[in-house]
Amino acid sequence: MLSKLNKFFSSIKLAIILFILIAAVSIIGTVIDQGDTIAQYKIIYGNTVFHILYWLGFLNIYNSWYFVGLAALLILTMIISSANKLPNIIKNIVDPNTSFDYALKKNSYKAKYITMQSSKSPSEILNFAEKTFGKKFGKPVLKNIGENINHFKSGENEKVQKISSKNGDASNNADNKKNNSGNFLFFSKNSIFRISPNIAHLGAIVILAGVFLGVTLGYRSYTNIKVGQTVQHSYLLKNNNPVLLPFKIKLDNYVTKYYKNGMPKAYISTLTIIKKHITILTKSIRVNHPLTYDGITVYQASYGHYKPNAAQILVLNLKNSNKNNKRLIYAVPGKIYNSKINNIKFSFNFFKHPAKDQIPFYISVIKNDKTVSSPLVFQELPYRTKKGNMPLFFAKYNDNIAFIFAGIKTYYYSGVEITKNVDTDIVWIGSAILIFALFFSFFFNQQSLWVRVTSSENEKINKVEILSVPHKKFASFYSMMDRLTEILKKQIL
Amino acid sequence: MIHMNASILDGSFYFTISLLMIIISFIGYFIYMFTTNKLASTASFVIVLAAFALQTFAFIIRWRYSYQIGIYIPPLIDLYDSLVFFAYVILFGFILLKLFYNFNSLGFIMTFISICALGFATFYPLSTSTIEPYIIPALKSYWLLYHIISLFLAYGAFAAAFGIGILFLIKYNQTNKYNKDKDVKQSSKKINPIKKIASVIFYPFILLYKQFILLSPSIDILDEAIYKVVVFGFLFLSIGIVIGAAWADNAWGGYWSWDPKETWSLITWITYAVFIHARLTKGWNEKKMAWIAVIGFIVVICTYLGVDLLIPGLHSYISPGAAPVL
Repeated sequence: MLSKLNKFFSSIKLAIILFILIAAVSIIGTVIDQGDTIAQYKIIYGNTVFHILYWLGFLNIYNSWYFVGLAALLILTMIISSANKLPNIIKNIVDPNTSFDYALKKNSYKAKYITMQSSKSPSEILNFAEKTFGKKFGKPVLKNIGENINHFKSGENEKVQKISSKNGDASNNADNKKNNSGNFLFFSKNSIFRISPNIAHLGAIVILAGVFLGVTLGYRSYTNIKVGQTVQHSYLLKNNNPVLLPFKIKLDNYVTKYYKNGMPKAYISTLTIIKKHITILTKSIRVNHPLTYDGITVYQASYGHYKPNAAQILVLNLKNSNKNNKRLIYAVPGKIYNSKINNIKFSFNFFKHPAKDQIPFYISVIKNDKTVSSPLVFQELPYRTKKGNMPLFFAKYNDNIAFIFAGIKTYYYSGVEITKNVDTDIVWIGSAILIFALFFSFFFNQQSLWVRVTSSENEKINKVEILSVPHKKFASFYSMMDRLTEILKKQIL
Repeated sequence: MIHMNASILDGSFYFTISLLMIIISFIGYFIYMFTTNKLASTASFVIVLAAFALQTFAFIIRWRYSYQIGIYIPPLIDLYDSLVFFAYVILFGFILLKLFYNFNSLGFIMTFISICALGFATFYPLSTSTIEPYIIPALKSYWLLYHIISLFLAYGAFAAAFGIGILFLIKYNQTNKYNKDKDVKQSSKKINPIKKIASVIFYPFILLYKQFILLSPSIDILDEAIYKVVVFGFLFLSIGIVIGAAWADNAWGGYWSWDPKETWSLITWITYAVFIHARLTKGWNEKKMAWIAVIGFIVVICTYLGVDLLIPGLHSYISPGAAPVL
């Protein structure tokens, strides 16, 4: 039972089916908008369809039990298949089975097997073979038909010949049984990289583990802060539940910078982090430039007005410079304000079609709910505001009342996203492992080569067998082998 | 009036000229396909090289221009940029494949894809070559260049795999048909008379077509090329997605938001992951792999253009209004 389960979970077919299912579920998530409100869904799909989609989990599909389940199953298959293959792979790297006959039998579907005969001596043949194949396959090991491994060094050919055939193994093939005097070279290139697919799987497991950790321990939240306001709560993106932050955030200032054509260039919030009444730091954040403190990152996400823009209008009584005869009013266009100076009410307005070079706004003075004057037109004063160096505009009513326009007051809030990421570093480590492992597994393929020389009875004619096993059935590998074999042939025939 | 991007100032004029050159080389490769005239293929390849050089020049012009008007990031922002870059990468991939594998027969497919991308860039009304002197704040990042280059290298590789996949399927079917025909003749079965007449009428074409099939590389080489090109693409797709995630983490507050483009890039990644794993499954022959390479490219197109044109999201090229506030 256990072995059946083991086989089931480590099969590539299961992995492929899981891949396809994950892709299919993901597609549903892109066709049906995720994260809309219930009211929006009901408008789009109608009540019945909404309930069906809700029941199927299609409206929050990436958090649905089956999507998470598919991902978990994928992790399980990766772990089990790697665990099954790993001991074998490690054994192959550390102590490979170099048996010629075993390799021939096991890799018959992709191996290239060539035989030829040569009148040269076995040591000469092996020497030529080492020189010919060494460039592509690296340094070989020399083995006799027994299992003794000797590192093959040039110049030690005589020693090679003396390797005893007493250790000959009876399990070798019929040819060898006939004559027990045979040696072979074993070349193995890039065998260490056989482990890279498993490391790639490890990378993917680390990424997914990081994601699971992030979903359970981290959060993504959102809050709007008015300029000057201090907050300590934000609201989760997924359900709007409040989160208590470990520090307070104050929005000192918010500015939108514009290009000449009016398109926004940058959104800049100046934030101060306050912990236990102590100012920790002040920093300006922009898109692509967040602030991180205490494991929590604050991003610029949006902005807006919490009140309409207002004109700063200073109303003055010119005949009486008493303190009570001066008042600053923030006037929203079109609204009526009581200046409390001589009981004068007024509204601040814009001309619909201002003439060229005309100042585009004016004041209407109102008494008893009626506009009593023609529009009071502004004139520019030769002074500027201390703050911001803005021009001042002046309009007069009945010789004694003056209205001074001192700029526009905006009421901004800044929308910030506040996230706690416990997982990002894990995800980046997993990604790095995955990418490096993919690189090595794609471009450093294992290739093995055996060159076996068996002598006939009188040692006049030797049989040379060349067995090459590529990692994959690549035409280029076979053509390279053909080329190298031709070179060897010319040398030993 | 037909909309056409052909301004010398922003470099689109040179891209349009390169489009003409690629059309000529496509015709050349088409002639080669039916006549197996070596001169046609050599001339076409020379034109492709020239078109590639011209496009490189056009990119330099565009990049320089965008710096001159105060945009200090490479011109890889909007739909036009992305389509011309796609065409450029495809030509680059074809040149590499031609040099490594001597793939003349791939020419007509690769130049065709390149023509589609460049033609779309040049004539599609919503794709304008004008570089505006402003960009949205989210794009002001050094991640942009690496994100886009690695993904387009992947897209280009997948386009090449698609081309080789089609070549493989043509060649594979033809080889099988040939074998079957031989079987039929051997068992002396009756041949449908209409088919016989048709085969007589189209005999010269069939002959030329068979010549072309003979000239294209063997199915083993094609199979190997598909695999190598796909794993190259897969590696760069993975790198591109990770860079994108890092950028998103920096700009939007999370490395993954299930934005349609992100999700489709995952689907693309999964498609090619299936390709790589399926090779290890016994019983999946080369033909199935070629089919996955062909289908995979359709998924790539969905990710690349379909998502932008059909589903609004964080990555939309065309309607900045549909993007989130910042």
